[in-house]
Amino acid sequence: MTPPVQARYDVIVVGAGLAGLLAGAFAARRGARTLVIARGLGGTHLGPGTIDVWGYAPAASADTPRALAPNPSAALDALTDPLHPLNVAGRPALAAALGELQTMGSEAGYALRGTLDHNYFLPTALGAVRPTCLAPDSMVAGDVRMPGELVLADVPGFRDFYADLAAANLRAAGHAARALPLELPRLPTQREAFATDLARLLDQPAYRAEVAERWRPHLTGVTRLGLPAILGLAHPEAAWRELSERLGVALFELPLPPPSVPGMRLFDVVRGALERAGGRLIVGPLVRGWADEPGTAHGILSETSGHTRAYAAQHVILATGGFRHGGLESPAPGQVREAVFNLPVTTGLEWFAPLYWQPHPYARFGLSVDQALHPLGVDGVAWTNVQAVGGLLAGADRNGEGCREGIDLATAYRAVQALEL
Amino acid sequence: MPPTLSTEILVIGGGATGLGAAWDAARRGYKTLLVEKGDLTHGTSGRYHGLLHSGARYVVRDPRSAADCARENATLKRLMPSAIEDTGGFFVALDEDPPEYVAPFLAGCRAAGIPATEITPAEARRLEPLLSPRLARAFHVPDAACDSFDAAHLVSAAVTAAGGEVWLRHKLVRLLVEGGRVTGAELERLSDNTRLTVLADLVLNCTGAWAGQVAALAGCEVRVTPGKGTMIAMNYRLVNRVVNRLKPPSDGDILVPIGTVAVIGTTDIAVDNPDQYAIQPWEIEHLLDEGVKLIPRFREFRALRAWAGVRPLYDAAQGSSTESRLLTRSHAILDHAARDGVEGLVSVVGGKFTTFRLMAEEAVDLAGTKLRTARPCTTAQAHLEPPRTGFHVLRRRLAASEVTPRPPLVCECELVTRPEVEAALKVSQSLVLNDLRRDLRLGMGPCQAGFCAVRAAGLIHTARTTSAAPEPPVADTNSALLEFLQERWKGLQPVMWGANLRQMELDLNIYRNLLGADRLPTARPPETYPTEKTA
Repeated sequence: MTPPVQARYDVIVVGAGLAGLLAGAFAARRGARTLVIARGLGGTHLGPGTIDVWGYAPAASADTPRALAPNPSAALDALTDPLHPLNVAGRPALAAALGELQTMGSEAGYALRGTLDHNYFLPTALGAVRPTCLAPDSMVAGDVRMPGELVLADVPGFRDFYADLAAANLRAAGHAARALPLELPRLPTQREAFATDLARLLDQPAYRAEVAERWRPHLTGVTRLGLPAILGLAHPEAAWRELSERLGVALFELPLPPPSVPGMRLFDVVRGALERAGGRLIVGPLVRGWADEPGTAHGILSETSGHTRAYAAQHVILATGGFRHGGLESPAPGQVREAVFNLPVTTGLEWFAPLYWQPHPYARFGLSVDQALHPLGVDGVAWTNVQAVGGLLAGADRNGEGCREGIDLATAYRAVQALEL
Repeated sequence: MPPTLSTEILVIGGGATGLGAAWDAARRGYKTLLVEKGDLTHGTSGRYHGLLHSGARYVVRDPRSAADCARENATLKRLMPSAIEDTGGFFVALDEDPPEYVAPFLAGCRAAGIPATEITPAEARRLEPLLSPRLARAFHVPDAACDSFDAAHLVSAAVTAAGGEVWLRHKLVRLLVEGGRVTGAELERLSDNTRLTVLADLVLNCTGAWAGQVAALAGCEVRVTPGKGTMIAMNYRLVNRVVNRLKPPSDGDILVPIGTVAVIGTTDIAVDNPDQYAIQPWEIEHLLDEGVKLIPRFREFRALRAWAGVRPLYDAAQGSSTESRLLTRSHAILDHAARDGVEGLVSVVGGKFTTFRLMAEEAVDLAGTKLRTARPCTTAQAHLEPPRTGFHVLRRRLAASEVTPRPPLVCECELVTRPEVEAALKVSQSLVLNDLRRDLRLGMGPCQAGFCAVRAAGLIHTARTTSAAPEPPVADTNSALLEFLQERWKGLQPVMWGANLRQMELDLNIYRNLLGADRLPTARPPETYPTEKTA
């Protein structure tokens, strides 16, 4: 028995990662009554806070390292697989989505720099180089091709960044780099200091002034200084600009393992755009599909302790992600199911490569869709008012190709565009 | 000419047997050196389920092994209480298990001196509430849980205290054989690839499943059948006592509580090569199915990791049986002078972790006879005090991390602190993160090194950066990180579904996407990483 309908929406998006939030924001900005509903926060908080569109040229073999792609647009010209989500969505959708996300960033005072024909080559916290298309002001000065020694701040008492190791790896790759111990005052003493703690401290102007006072004497001859990504959560643009000016160096951040401060900023940017446009965000309930028979959805059912609520929708967009985020589940070896509507999942016989570092076939598992991103049912016929976006889609190795956020953007945009709101 | 040293007894192998032999020999006053190609418990001792046998498992088929286990169970509990959790154990018969097995089981327990006390199924389920309601019979026996890492550290420290030496990461290159006599060994020190020669009055081959390979270096044939046993660690202490099925020993009929987890084991499959064996998907399914019989909710818990060890089963009849489980669990001490006409070499084969002290005693007895200096064994009367109090006991680690000033945590799953990692790095001088794992439990918790491996790599590189070596080769640090994650992956792949797959996706996204670890310069190419292919 279906519970009473709690509310009716034009568009309900399931999932609050980058793809889901963006789909919700795109829909809300086009006037649709929009709900984004999710079990938990999505991949933004786990990622680098940059927008990867295409990062790597295909490896010559499984054992050779991936080569960096300097130009995502050119690399995409060589991507011929018509079933790759980036090709399903199409280049115009990708380009428009990048532009609209940059607009959202500017509106929030958090500029995302870059263009589709250029990748930044930014250092990672281990001292590898990762290519990315859009990055915040606080990262772009780290591009390894720019002149100037990469001086990396080693913050005593902070366990998630090891400047010695990162600098050694950058040097091994031919980039001038060194570590420089720089203390941060007033770290938490009763527990570990997380990046989020340091970011909240650096949101405070008085704290930034104190840090600048302490660090300036150590920075003679330093032109650019790399910090772990801790430069503010609520006021990142002010934190980066003001500290750069006070220190007289080009500051750049290096993304860290979760919790990701730049990822949380990205979440705030898109969430703000969604809510300013009148969209609603609910995080917490378990979400199940609401459909009497395959092919058409009435909406979704939201399960919380003690209640199940029905939300009706003209359109449902699934942005529940792959195995990491629960959009795909593997209840037993070799088995896979889609979590919301139990849609058929495109898989393969092999799941895993023998070496951890090789591409794993399961990464390409996911939903097969038509050109408007409607998932195909068991009979091969597309659902009429359900669409799938982001990591739930089949056909991409998002880590290996360096296209994680690019797929999120392009498919979210294409899905909303196809609604003709 | 490589540098030459001399010793009275050279022990090859740093597992339980070799450590026990070196300890025993050193206590009897022999100049003793133990060499091991990897870390302590690098082989089978470190890949064991942790059951300190009461002997009851073997009473019907293998009474000698049962009696040995029964005696040694009591001895080891007295000898090294800090490494043993005296949980007690149950033998439980389900309604599907053969009722006719009970009578020979009880008779065998009586004969071997194993106290087996029947309790009602209701009482067994009161004590172990997750057990199946289909219990027909239940008996209590003195099984226990033993931490083989802790035990090995205890014995290794005791070797040193008794005047012996333990050299890790020294690989046996060849045995020196002159005129039908083994006179020593040539070794390679793996840290700098230098060669050393050790002259010895007697060489004790304590290399377990590798004993056949070592004996062959002196031209002796020893038929050891490596018997692969696969185990799964479940992410929950499902039982507080060891639980065995009361039926002829088979796959998946042992469940051992170890710290915060429970280990189900084992399968038993003869393999050709102790260095190359794969965990087959059917083994995992089979172990989980058997687990469900003992504990109906078994599959609701997360399988943390699977691994396999190779039993050193000795085929005394040289090939009479190909069925691994039918080979005896007893041990044998082989004097190659009497057996093959080669003096100066004794091989210890077969046996089990529980009987390592007894095997060592018999081996060193024989050594004494051969060296014409027979002296009595004193290890059964010894008491091994922990040199460090229980890294492996969670409550101790909790206490150690909850002090003021609070030490920074490197691994929050297993409460490993930065001072512990730094101290371990100083002691081991090792670039093998897997050794830190054995010492500290680093990376053994639910996240399987997702968050701590990068921290450990950072600490290693900082520790390697000294005034003497301001620029240590970073490729070695990177290899340590990548090989550690590959090592974790080996154990994860067989149990990769549900929450584990989700965890892997998170960890891969951290290392491959966010950090770009797979594109760092390494000391060795990736195809040389340890790998176990599954079929």
